Amino acid sequence: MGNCYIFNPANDVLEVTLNNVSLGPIAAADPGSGYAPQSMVVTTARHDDGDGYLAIADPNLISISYPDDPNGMYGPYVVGICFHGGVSVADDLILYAGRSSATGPATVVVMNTRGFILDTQCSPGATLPKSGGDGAA
Amino acid sequence: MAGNVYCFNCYNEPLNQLNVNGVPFGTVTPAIGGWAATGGTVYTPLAVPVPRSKHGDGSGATFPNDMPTPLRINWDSWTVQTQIDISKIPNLSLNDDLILYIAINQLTLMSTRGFVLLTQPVSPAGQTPKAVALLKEFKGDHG
Repeated sequence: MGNCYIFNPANDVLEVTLNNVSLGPIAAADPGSGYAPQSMVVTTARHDDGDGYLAIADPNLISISYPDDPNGMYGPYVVGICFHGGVSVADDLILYAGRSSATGPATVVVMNTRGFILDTQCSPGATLPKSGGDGAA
Repeated sequence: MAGNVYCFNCYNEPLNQLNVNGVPFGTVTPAIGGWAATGGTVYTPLAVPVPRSKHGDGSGATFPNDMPTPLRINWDSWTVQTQIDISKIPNLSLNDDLILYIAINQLTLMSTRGFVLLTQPVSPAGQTPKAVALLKEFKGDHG
């Protein structure tokens, strides 16, 4: 099986829940080191079996929140991730967990190790609306 | 003091030349190294800080606040020619640092708090037969 590397591009601590399994925090990017993002790794699998794996063949739900934000006003954001072919269970994947902005499109982007951003949008029925504040820059 | 746009190379190949606002950024080649394929920093993109400026004309390799910024990005296998328009983003101070993730087929601009300000698909041009074939395969898989 491959791995999915989840990166936190923000200079705030990020907490990630994948398919209802809490994965814990990812440290903040450090401005002093050029905002190099920190990451955690999860396993990819064909199906979601409740272990917090990223499923290639099933819709995934990823929830991201920022515990240092006052009153949780910026999250959690819940985004669906679905794969539409061209991805093997043996592939490594890279996920950047960006936040929503009021006017922006989907904020979680997934790419393969060949440098391509993948289309991971789910059908409307499989995607939960984002919750929390609208966000601001 | 004007902030910087931290430009991240989201690819394993070194980003040989980053041309910003019509001017090559920096004098070192590659402009940005590729990510590590193993070890503790595997897949962690590397970055360079490119200054922001109030005005675009004659400001050199900067991201101006009053006009779109032309970008030319060269890897060994790919070239991307595009532009990004920071001037249209509301509530953005010139002093703010920004984060730009450069993938082969998309630019993602974020605030330093991780808010996605802009996602912009780009069209890479393959520079090798292998890259051309890979792009064709990717488009076949993902439309």
